Amino acid sequence: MILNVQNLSVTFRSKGGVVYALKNICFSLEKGDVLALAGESGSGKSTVANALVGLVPWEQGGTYELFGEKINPYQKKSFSIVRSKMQMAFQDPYSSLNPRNTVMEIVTAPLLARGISKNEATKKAKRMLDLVGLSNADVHKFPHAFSGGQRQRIGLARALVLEPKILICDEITSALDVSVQAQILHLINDLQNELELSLIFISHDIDVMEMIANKVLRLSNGEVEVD
Amino acid sequence: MNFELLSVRNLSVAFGDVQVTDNVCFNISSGEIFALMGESGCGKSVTAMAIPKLLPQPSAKIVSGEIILEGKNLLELPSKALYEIRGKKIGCVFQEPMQALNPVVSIGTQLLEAVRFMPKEKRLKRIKELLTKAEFKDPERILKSYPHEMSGGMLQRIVICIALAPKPSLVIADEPTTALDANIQTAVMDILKSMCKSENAAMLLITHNAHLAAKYADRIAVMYAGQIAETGKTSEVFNTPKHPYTKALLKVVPAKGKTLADLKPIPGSVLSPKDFDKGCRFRFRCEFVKGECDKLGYGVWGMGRMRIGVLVFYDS
Repeated sequence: MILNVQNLSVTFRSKGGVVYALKNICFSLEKGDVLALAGESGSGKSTVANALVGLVPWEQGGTYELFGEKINPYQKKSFSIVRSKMQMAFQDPYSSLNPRNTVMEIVTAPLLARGISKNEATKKAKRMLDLVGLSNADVHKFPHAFSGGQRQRIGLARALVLEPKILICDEITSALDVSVQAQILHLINDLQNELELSLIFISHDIDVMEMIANKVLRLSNGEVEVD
Repeated sequence: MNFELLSVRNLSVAFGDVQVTDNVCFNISSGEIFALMGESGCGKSVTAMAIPKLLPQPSAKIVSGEIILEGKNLLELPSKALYEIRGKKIGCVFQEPMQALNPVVSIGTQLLEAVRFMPKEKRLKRIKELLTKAEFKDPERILKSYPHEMSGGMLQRIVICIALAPKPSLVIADEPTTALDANIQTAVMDILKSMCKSENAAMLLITHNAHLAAKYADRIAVMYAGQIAETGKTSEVFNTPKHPYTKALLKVVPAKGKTLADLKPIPGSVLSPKDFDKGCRFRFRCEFVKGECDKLGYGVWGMGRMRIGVLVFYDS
């Protein structure tokens, strides 16, 4: 088991009191798994993803284990270990890339933040961009010069450049045309085989999930739905 | 009895020096749902927005063609007469309902604006009738609300009411559900379809979603790189696609029972209008490409059915 999450709860405070966005979610992931997170909008799919990488605070009582290592989800620092092993690609390729940075700057940013030298980072970024199907000529362009599908490739390269073992794909094909969606789904599949990734795949398209996933976690109103 | 409501003939639109659509032809009968389907950047929205002359001025120019609505060529009408047509004869439903509505004006005022052509005493009755048809349970409360108080699906239903309020004969729905969640999409489309039917309005549905086109359209035109590749009854186009692009497009649509291996991505992307030449525009991505594909010019066969460039394949 590479990932084991027990009793994950997330709350938001609003005027009316405390609202549970997630309530006692439990799931695990084996190596090579593709876990689909399914459910309607507002069911908590993206909140699960955000909680896993520490973008939203956990409620007390949850436990989190990653590659056999106990993670303390109540300490911000511990997510630094998480993020070296788990990365995320986002839904909207238009708003998830900094418009003022070149592709190379975007993809090398996570490496530089981890203290890797610029030369080494550039080398790694080039290899990853090549892997997702972007050419050498593209690396000094800005995001506006690319189509939605190409931007999603840049987002994937940024997520994969740290060589994570788990990739969270949060609705990565929702904003794309069907023909581009097919390209990205094949790319994800190829990358998964090549880099031995395990995936957490969030989508609202049942047909797409059936194609790509071997496990499904269905959420409804922040709770796991039992079939 | 259905009659020909809209006839778009040889419509070509250019932005500056670059021609983006090329001899687009199609007809819509009264009460019919007609879908324009294709990838982003194929010219679907440009074609749709050319009909009520809503293309950005002065950058967009209609190079050639006719747009005949109920016997009148809209391209020859003075701009004052077009005011009468927009809204009254042609209603529009756009992709982003949040941007289509004014955030600081109540829903009631915005709906009343849409029925300003009607006698005063009938206006309120008409909008309440529309809200009930759009399945709002409490129309009185809705009239007092503001856009930020409603969800995307509710807002799109309001936009549909506004589009249909003056009893138009044609509704142009440009990706009406793309910005909405998958589970709300069907509900909104069902309401849009049933309201068009009950108001006897025809619909031009612009979509890249093949599932949506298959489910709701009576007839369909597949667009590629500014040209109509294929038109026909929806069942015909989906069951026996003739154009190589339609065939390729249907292969990338995920469906129940399909595996990832069944999903055959179309290599490359849509040709940029700057690179259009005389040859078939799909030849760079086509699996049936032949030597003559780059020589065959464009021609309209029948009423915008298909290009001469691909007739080679229909015959063989």
